[in-house]
Amino acid sequence: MPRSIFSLLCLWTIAVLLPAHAGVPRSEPGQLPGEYVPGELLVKFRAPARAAATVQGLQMQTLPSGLHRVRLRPGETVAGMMQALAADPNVAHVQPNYLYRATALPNDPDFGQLWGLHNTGQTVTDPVYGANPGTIDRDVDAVEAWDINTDCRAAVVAVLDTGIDYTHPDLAGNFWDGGATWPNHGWDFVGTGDNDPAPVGGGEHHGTHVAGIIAALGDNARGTTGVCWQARLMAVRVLDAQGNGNTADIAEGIDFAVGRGAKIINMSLGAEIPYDQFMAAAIERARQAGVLVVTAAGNDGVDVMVGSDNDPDTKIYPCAYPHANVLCVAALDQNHDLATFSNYGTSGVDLGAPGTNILATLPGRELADDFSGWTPLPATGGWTSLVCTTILGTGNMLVDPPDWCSAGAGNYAANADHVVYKTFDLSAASAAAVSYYAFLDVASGDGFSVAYDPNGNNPFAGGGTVVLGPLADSRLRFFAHDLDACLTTACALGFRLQENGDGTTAQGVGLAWLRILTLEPGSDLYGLYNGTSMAAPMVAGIAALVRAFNPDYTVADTTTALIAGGDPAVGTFVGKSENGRSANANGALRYLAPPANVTVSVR
Amino acid sequence: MGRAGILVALLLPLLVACGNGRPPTNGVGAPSPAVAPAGDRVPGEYLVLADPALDADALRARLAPYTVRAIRPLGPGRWQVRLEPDPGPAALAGALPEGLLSIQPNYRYRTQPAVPLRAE
Repeated sequence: MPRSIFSLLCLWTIAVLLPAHAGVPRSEPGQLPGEYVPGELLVKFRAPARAAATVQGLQMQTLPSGLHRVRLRPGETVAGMMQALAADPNVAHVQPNYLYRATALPNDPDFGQLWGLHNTGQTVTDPVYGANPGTIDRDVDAVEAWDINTDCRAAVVAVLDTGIDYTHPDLAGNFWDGGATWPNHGWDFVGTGDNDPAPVGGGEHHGTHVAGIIAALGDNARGTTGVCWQARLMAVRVLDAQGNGNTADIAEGIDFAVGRGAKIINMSLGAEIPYDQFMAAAIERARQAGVLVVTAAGNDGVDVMVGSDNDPDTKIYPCAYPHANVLCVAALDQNHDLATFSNYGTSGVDLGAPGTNILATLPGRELADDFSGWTPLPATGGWTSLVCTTILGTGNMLVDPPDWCSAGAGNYAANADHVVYKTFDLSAASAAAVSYYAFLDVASGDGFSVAYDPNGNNPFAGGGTVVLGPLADSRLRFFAHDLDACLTTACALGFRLQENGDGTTAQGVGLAWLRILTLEPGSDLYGLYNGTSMAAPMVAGIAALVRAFNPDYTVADTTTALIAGGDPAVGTFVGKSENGRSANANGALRYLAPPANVTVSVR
Repeated sequence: MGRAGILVALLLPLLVACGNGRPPTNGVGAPSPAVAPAGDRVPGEYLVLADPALDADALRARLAPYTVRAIRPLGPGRWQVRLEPDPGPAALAGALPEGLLSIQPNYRYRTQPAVPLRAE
């Protein structure tokens, strides 16, 4: 290492280690550039033994590195004394004692929860995944990257997803300006289509969460920050309120984004299907237009090239496409192990990125019900709330018969007409939906029903609306029902189990994981999700940082920087991806492509 | 074996098919139905890549063996058609009519959170 570099490193080290309270920058005659401690200089003497003579009585401190901190007398200026000492033959180097500050962190109050951006070993509050806390610095090094760039506005990012709440206070201001033609920052391709890509269903939270990971406003003293502090997000609704979409709508969405100047498309979606030629053609058009497509690996814990259905003709797409502009992302936990649910693949999966316990913007609330406070009719012998263990795990359930969880449990009662209901305050919502798992074993002719009443009464007693049933079935099912006609202060949601009087009964019903999701546009709400859906936008955000910082970068330049600038895989992610790398924003921004067509000879 | 245990045994194949049989992740979530079942598609809807010179009437004529309920252009040489009754992908997999480059199902895609955000 050349001596001059060594000296500079020493000086930098000293300066960093010096106490920050040593002084406050101020103006003085002959002010030098930069901020430095007034009245102090750092000096390297050629002959340290003659240092005292050189500085002629100035107060001096010898530092462990052999350098000296020299304090000036009142009235002496840093610039003046520097000039004098520089002229002394015993002085090898002299400079101000520059002030350094800790790397600027965004002032968003929930930034401390964002382990994926900056993993300090923090414990995420109300986690939805294990490995919490994780390992310090297992993150995308966003803080270090933000020393280089926080602004992604030079690279429009299209989010092809469910609707996005573009009025969310931590997102509004970071959207693409579509002018009068696209006044709501994008387009809705679902159904007949329209110019409003906002969420329409109560359960439609996904797109807003994804958008917030990419570009929740940074350093705005509110909520969270995205990978990009400033951005131009294009909202392209291609998935409905249940999170389902199809080839035609998504391909149209890709063409829309490409045609309106997007440089990066995030698609946190997937399917296990045969080769989708129509979608492949759309991705190829994006490639030809220089657009990067970042996509999620999927959450079935399988190889994306194999899938889970044992059908050799199907793979996980879009991940499995061979297009050079497709970047497929697996989900990592807080230790940077592969998340247990994440798909993987030494062919197809390009990068890993944080995808568990990810806090980001939501367009409404998620009310997780613990099955307390429900009113059973009759009060005993029918529906009961208790803790139960099933394949879904251990948790509170609502069951009928009351011994549903017990070994040797009986059937529900003959002549049963059992109702249970509870009221919820949904008055702040513009839309709402309830979802839950139902273990059903209901005899033929009997019925399981679901209903609501906006006035808080027993929803099966008249005046209520039945949204399901009566249903006889014998399997585990997952249901979701709109509650849009029940947006009152006392929306009563109820379940009913009826026996038809023939005396034939079965094992009954167990309900678990009941959630009510609402839309409250413009509200300042956030939530935690797991998924490769959350990992992909981490990478899309980093790609935007890179591409905005290097406007001349091609798709190939961007993907090279993302992969080559990534961290080596660790833990259970080793051997699970094509490149053995996890995303690192700082590494990607600092990655310098080796010069092409240059021959170097070494003598 | 308790009822839950019996249910687990009975429902395990279903859960494996739907979501890889994984337990929920630390409190929220459940076996993820994230990836659509193999070949999951919109019934009766097909996407056609065709000679860009072909117009809607010509396309309808090429598909004459089937009842075309709707045709929607998606770009040059790209069409979405709805056939009723649905002949199924296998029936369409044979020789393509003149001017048609490919015909495929309109596949379903889904979001990829590891939490249940969708219903059946």
